[in-house]
Parts: sequence; structure tokens; C-alpha cells
Amino acid sequence: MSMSTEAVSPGRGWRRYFTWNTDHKVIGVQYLVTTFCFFLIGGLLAMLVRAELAQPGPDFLNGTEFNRFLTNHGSVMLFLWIIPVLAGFGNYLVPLMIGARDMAFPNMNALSFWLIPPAGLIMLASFFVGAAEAGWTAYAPLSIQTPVGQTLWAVSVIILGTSSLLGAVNFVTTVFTMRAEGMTFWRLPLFVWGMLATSLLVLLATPVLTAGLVLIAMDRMAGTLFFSASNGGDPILWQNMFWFYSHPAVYIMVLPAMGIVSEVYPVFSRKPIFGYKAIAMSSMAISILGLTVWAHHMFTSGMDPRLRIPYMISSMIIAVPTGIKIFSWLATIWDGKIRFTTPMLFALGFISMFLIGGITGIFLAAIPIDVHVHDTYFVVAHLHFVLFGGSVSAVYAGLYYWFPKITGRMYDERLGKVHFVANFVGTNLTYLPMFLAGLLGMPRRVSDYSPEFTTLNLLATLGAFLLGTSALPFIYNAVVSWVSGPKAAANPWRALTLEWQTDSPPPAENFHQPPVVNSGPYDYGQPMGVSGQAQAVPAVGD
Amino acid sequence: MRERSIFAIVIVSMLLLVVGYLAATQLNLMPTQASTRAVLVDELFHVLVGTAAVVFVLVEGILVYAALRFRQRAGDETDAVPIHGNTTLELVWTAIPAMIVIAIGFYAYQVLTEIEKPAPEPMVVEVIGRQFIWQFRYPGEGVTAQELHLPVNQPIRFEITSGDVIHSFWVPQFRGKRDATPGRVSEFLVTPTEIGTFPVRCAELCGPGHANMTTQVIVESPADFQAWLAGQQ
Ligand SMILES: [Cu+2]
Repeated sequence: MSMSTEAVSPGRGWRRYFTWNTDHKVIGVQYLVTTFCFFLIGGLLAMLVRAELAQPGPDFLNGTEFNRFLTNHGSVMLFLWIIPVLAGFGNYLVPLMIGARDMAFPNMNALSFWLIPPAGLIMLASFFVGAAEAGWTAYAPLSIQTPVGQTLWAVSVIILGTSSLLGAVNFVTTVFTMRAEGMTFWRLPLFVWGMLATSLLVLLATPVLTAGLVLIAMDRMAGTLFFSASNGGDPILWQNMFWFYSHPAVYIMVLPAMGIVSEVYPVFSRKPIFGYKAIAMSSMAISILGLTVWAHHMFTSGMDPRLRIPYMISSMIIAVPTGIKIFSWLATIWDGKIRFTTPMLFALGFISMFLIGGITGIFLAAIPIDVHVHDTYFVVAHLHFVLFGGSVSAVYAGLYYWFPKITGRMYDERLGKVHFVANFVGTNLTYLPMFLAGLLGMPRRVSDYSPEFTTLNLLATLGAFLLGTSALPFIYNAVVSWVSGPKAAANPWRALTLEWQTDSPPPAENFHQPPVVNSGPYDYGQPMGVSGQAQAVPAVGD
Repeated sequence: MRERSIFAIVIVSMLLLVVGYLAATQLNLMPTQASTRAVLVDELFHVLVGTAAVVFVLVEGILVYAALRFRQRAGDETDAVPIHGNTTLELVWTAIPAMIVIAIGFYAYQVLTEIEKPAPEPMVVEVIGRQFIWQFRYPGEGVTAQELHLPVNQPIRFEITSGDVIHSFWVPQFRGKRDATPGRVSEFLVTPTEIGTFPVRCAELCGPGHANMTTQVIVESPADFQAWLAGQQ
């Protein structure tokens, strides 16, 4: 079958990855590779920060430099790595998983990707004019007073938010209108549910951040006083606008990750996912509840005291749908036939570390405890267990799991396991000591600290360098396997979801014939031996 | 026999969880308790640590047990027995966490009400954060200091504000902080209970000198406090 309707699709080969290409698979790879480069930059910034903090006293960064590295570490990791890398998985997988030949708006899809490199360059180029130094939270009025790099930061985040919004419109439209025959909503893979829940959040929350950033930029450039304490402005207004997006953003960074691991457990346990509907609906519940909790970041701000209780309760209630997912995953692997492939190891690591992030979230929601640990290293540890132990583990699980599909080649399992062990040990060594440092009195975002925290910080720094090093076997594995790894079969994992029922890598039009779906995505262990969702249309190219 | 051994395993693991809960509540992870609110906050904290330990051990235990017990046996390429769900089980693991978090929320609310109960005759201390120093004013005394002195066992009402950007006034040993926001005065209630010297730290990123925006609070006997105040006038 030829590519008849593609507007711009300049052939195959590596060059297409550097062009305006409307094939969602090319765009997906563009997202994954580009954002991984930003991950490495964010990681280097983190290692500089940790190096400065290895021992007390000023070592090689002054306060301003430290704040710049810290601010851009957070901003790069969140806005240029986790959020877009998950959108990258969405781009590659959603059309394949629902049996579509592309996203609903292919040109808009290319645009969402091509907004990212310039936005990233703007953010990093700001180091030449005095980079943003008010933290990724950019609290006013500090963020109004800092050098011009802060404006570039705001512009960069506005562009990235736009990219995210365009992507969300595309995902929602694609899932609603482009599903293959027989692909009902209750047959959607859980990753697609995760992307749907995330896109809903992006659509509702991102515009508020964008508006806030425009006001920050105006305060800075036009001398308006939206966030100034005098003249009728209000610094707390920024906090409301910022967290209205940035707390849901945590779920934007977690729901697709939960979707990824939900794909991995059934395949490598050879069992159906346990409680499919409960997992799908808990994603939607987290998404909706996630919009009602933002002010738990402001318990110490002097906000209306009566308002704190509802925010505490809604924040705690989120533990319920989260718990449903965790217990359902455990029940999925229970009594399965578990294969410890690298993606499965990362997916199991996801549960064990995300759990720590989730439990400590309850501590932070409890107001009397929060007013002690808010803005301390306890929060740093908590958020990294959610986003690094959680989201990044899931991203690695996904990268290994779909590596054969995307590249048509197998990765090296032994190197994968080395990567997993180093990453797992590194994550725990880096972030566990931070809980104690925070409880004992170490504020976050400090370039120096009291000598009583030296041991804990040294441990965290050692862990951070182990984490940094742990990326090397992955990079080596990915590059060498992509170039010269053994050829992968169409469905090396014997998975049932649609993306595995076509070639590896899939042809330009995804499926040789439009698939017809007649079973669920995780119907493992059926007596008649179901071969996949597209049973009626056997895969070609096995 | 099999049923009896399952029963025994359940009983033993529940006992272990209770012991684990009690052991975890004894963990000392907090700094010195130097205020009345610290005692209440720590009680809540210990209950949460105990609960967290039970949930942690339970989930990680099931995870590790399942991973070891249900490994694929070499050469077995067949699928496992298909189980799609179990309504009773799903209701249980929805309802129990819901009850736990509601109980924690209720308890936390009680503690919050208690620690924020206004004292009848508090002493007012004004706290002003500036890049990168703290100033403490004792209204009516004409005293402004950069080191905080407080009489022990005297309820204090801090009135906290900022002269520039947002800071956050934090004494870890008092178990609480409050943001110093320009254009607003935030209240924070503390009754110091321990004589001693404790750190005051800024907890909100406020610029290049944020890490060094520290001073100390000296909690002393009322007589020593009065002597200090007189010496400042
Ligand atoms: Cu400060």
C-alpha cells in the first residue's frame, strides 16, 4: 500500500527525523529522542546542584549561579522532559493502539513537536543573559525582579504549554473519532485511557498557567502590577494560577506513566489486567479530583484558613483511586507467570518507588505536618519519588518495552538489567536521605546548609552521581541496538494490543489492512488462544 | 490443613503489622520539641508514620512475594489462569483506604484546631523578612532586633510580613512556618516550652542569599527575657 494522502512525508531513513514530517511515528520518535536530550541536560544541572551540596559551605557556585542551575533543572525536567516525553509515547502509540492510520490532525501534530526545540533553546540560551533564578515555581514578586532570562523562561514555558495544548486537542479528537471498527471505549488499552485523562487535564489547566505567565511577562516588561503587593496587585494570585496548573501537572506527568506500566504487567505476567474498568475510571477520577487540590501547596501562605480543610480532604482522597491502581496491579501479577524482562523490572520498580511518593503525599496533605515540612527537603524527596521513582521508571519501562516496535530491533537484556539495578539503587540512595534532612530542618532550594545535615547530603550526592552514571548503559544499549541489534519480530512479547499486530517498525499506514477489533486488550489465558485484538486480520511480516 | 495454614499466616502477618505499627510510631525522626504545638504535631506524625509503615510493608511485601513466588518456570510458555477482577476485593481496597484517609483527615483537623486555638493574652512579636535578614519588633517596647528572644511558656502571636519578596519564617523545633508576604500580615501562634537556642530559617526561595537568611531564636526564662529587653531599649 502506498502513502497516498500524506501531505509531507519524505520517505524513510534517518533524515526524515530532521524534517517537518506528519507521520505520528516519526513525530513520536522526534519527541522521544529530543526530550531525552533535555533529560540529560536536566540531569547534568542536577548533578551540578548536588555537587555543590555534597558538603556545607560555598564550593564552586555562588547563590545566584546555584539558583539558576536549580531553576532550570526543575523547568527542563518538567516542561522539556517528563511532560513531552509522555506526549511522545502518546504520539507513537495512540494511533497504533486504537487502529488508526495517524493522528486526527497530522500537521498540527508536527507543529506540537516543532515548538519544543525552539522553546528549549530559548530556555537554555537564557544562561547567556542571566537565566531564570526564581525556582520553577517563579513566585512573584521575586520573579518580577530577576534578570531578563526570567522573561525568556516565561516565553519558553508559554510555547511549551501551547505545544502541550495542541497535543491534547489532537489526542482527544483522535481517540474519539479515529478508533478502528470494534474498538469500543471499554476495549481501549489503559495507556490510551491515561492519555485521555491527561489530555483532559491539559485542556482545563494549561490555559490558566499560560495566562499567569503572560501577566508575569507584562509585570516584567510593561511595568504592570498584577502580582505586586502595592497598587492592588497580589503575589498570592500568581500562586493560585500557578498551582491550578502545576498540581494537575503532576497527574499529567503520572497518568500516562501509570498507563505504560498497565500495558507492561499483563504482558509479562501472561494474565489479564485485574480490574480493567476500575483502573480506567480511576484515571478519570484522579484527573477530575486533581483539579480540586491545588491550594495544598499554599497551606503556609496565610490563605483563608477555612479553605484549607477542603483542600486537605480532596488531596487525601486522591489516595483512594491511586490505591485502586496499585492493588489492581499487584492482583495482576499475583498468580501470573512473571518474566523479568527489563521493562517488567522497571514497571515493578515503579510500584515500589511510586508507593513511597504516594504515602508521603498524605503527610504533606495533613496540614499540621505540612506546615513543618512544606518547602523542605521532605518535599524534594516526595516529588522525586513520584516523578523519578514513578514517572521516569515508567518511561524507561516504556522505552524498553516498545523499543522492538519502534526500531525493529531488540535491545540487550543484560545491559538493560544493569541499568535497572543502578537506577533503582541510585534513586533510593539519592532521595531517601532527603526525607530525614527535611524533617530535621533543612529547607529546600538552599545553596548551603548547617553542618548537621552533611552526612545526609553526601549520601544524596553519591546517589545522584550513581543515577547520572546509570544512564550510560541505557544510552549505549539504545544506540548500539538501534544500529545493529538483532532484528525484532512483529510481536516479540506475544502481546495482544493492536500495536503489536503489525510489523516492527510499522509501515507508514500502520496496518496493511484496517484492523477489526473483536476482543479486549488483555485477554490472556483464553482457552481458544486469542492471538490479539485484531484477530480477524493476522499480522503481516512475522 | 491448607486452610488452617492460610489462617495461621494471616494471623501472624497481622500481628507483625501491629508490632510494625507500634515500632514505627516510636521512630524519632523529628528535631527537639520546643513548643506546645510540636507535641501535638508529632503525635499526629507518629500515627502517620505507623500507618505508612503498615501500608509500605504490606504493599512491598506482596510485591516482592508475588515477584518471587509467581516467576515463570523455565520452558512454560502458556498463559496464566485468566482472572479479570473480583468485585468484593475491589470494594475492600477502595473502602479501607478511603476510611483510613478520612480518619487521618479528621484527626489532622482536630490537631489543626488545637494548635491554632488563640491564647487569651498572647505576646505579639512582629516578624519582617527582608533580603536576606530577619527583623523582630516588640511593639510597645520600642525594640527591634535581628535575633529573636522569647520568654518560655508565654503564648506568642507572630505577625509576619515582608519588606520585599516572599520569605517563610520557620523554626523547625517549633514545628511550623508561615510565609512572609509583602502587603500582608500573617499570624502564627507558638508557645515555646523549652529554654534553649534554636535556628530560624527562611523556607521560601527569596534570592541569592536565601540559604544564609538564618538567625536564631533564644528561648529564656521570663526574667532573662525582661533583662534582655531592657538592655535593648
Ligand atoms: Cu528569605
